[in-house]
Amino acid sequence: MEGNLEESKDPTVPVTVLTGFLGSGKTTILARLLRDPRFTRTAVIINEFGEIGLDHELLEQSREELVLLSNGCVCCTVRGDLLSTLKHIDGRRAGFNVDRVVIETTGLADTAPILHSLMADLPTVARFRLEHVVTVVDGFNGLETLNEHAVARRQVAMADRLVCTKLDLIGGKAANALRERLSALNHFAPQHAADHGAIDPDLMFRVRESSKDGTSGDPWLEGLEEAAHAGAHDHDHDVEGHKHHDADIESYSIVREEPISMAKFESWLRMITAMRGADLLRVKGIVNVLDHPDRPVVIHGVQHIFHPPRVLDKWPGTDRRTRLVFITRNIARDDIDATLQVF
Amino acid sequence: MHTVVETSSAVALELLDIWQRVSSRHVSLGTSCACGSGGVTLQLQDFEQDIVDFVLGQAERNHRSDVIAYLKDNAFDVQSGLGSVELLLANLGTADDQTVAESDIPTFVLEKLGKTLRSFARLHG
Repeated sequence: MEGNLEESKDPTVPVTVLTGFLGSGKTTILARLLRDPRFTRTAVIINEFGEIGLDHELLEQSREELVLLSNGCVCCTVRGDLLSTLKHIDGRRAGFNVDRVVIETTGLADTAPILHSLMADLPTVARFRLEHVVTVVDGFNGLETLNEHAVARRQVAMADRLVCTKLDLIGGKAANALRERLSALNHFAPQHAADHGAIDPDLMFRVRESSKDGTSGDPWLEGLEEAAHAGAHDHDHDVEGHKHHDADIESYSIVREEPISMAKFESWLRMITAMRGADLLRVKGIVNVLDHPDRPVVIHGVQHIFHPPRVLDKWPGTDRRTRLVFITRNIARDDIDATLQVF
Repeated sequence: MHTVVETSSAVALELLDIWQRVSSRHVSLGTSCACGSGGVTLQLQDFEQDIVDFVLGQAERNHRSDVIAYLKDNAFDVQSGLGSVELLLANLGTADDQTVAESDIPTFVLEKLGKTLRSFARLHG
């Protein structure tokens, strides 16, 4: 297949955010991926820490569509730069022949501001869609890094997919310990291994044909479904998925059997976001709405920013329950559940 | 039975204290962020009707006609007709009606309401 991984009728350009702590191997993976013929139409945006960019030097090919943001660690101030870069890419999309964007963050970056930009800026939302957040974890130093750096824990918590590197340098026991730690931080993101930077691009970027609506094929929601079926128990007519936690960060799911009033759900979301937005690391879900139960609503939020809700034409599968996935910091599942019940 | 009445009354007053502390506190949506979502201010009081409706809904779901009747008499402001968490908790706290106080109505209401209000209080921080 020539070009990128799949042809999509969706007019928006998929964006993958590639993150991971310093030295985790993001650039090595990206350099390998860009050699794959399926990535020839990929624009790469690199954000680097400090005035002099280095990571781009490690990418073997010089690509016209490779853009370097070198004005420091990604934070609110960089957002404008990122948006203008995306606008630039969009404006020259035909010339660049771009059908995918990869944003590689600095190792010290909090992923949230980038995701906020992609979710909240309406002109950007109209042209680009956040498809995946891929976090690279150094197998050799990963556990120590996770212990010592909150930003590394947040990078893992916010991921849709996790890629472990340098696993050949550690034994099976250490690798298992790392996997368990990653699962505790983010139960919903599948874990993959990269062999000296090489990984099947499909594992990182592919979205199945059936998932163009952004629901089925989403590893988080699939994980939620499995958890609900495997370990669920009835809880006041609702189903409770598994809960996983790592000190302050927890990942859990909430399932509602009954349709929900969208207006009330949005009220709850606003309230919870106003109270604890900074600690809602990621929220994803599909909602069975009382007013139009045949057309579910997909929600996706990062901290206090939520992508405009998307109404689907139909349910992606047979499961028509409201399914919500949360990765939070110091917010207990019971408190989310008890307050949501009101609405 | 006397102890149960006292306990329910004490729980009601404790929840009333939580409600009074938390309900009028304003929370702002992203005021310090440059993302443009700032400027929205909310308070739990805005959702008082929803909370009363929730307890009423729980009573309906559990076919508790006695609780429904009690809530209709004690959880709604006579003049406005609006649900009032404060009024409900104050009524439960004073336990004027001995028959109600000795029934399991307070236990039912306080269990549902308590879980919700304590969770909101924890989220508020």
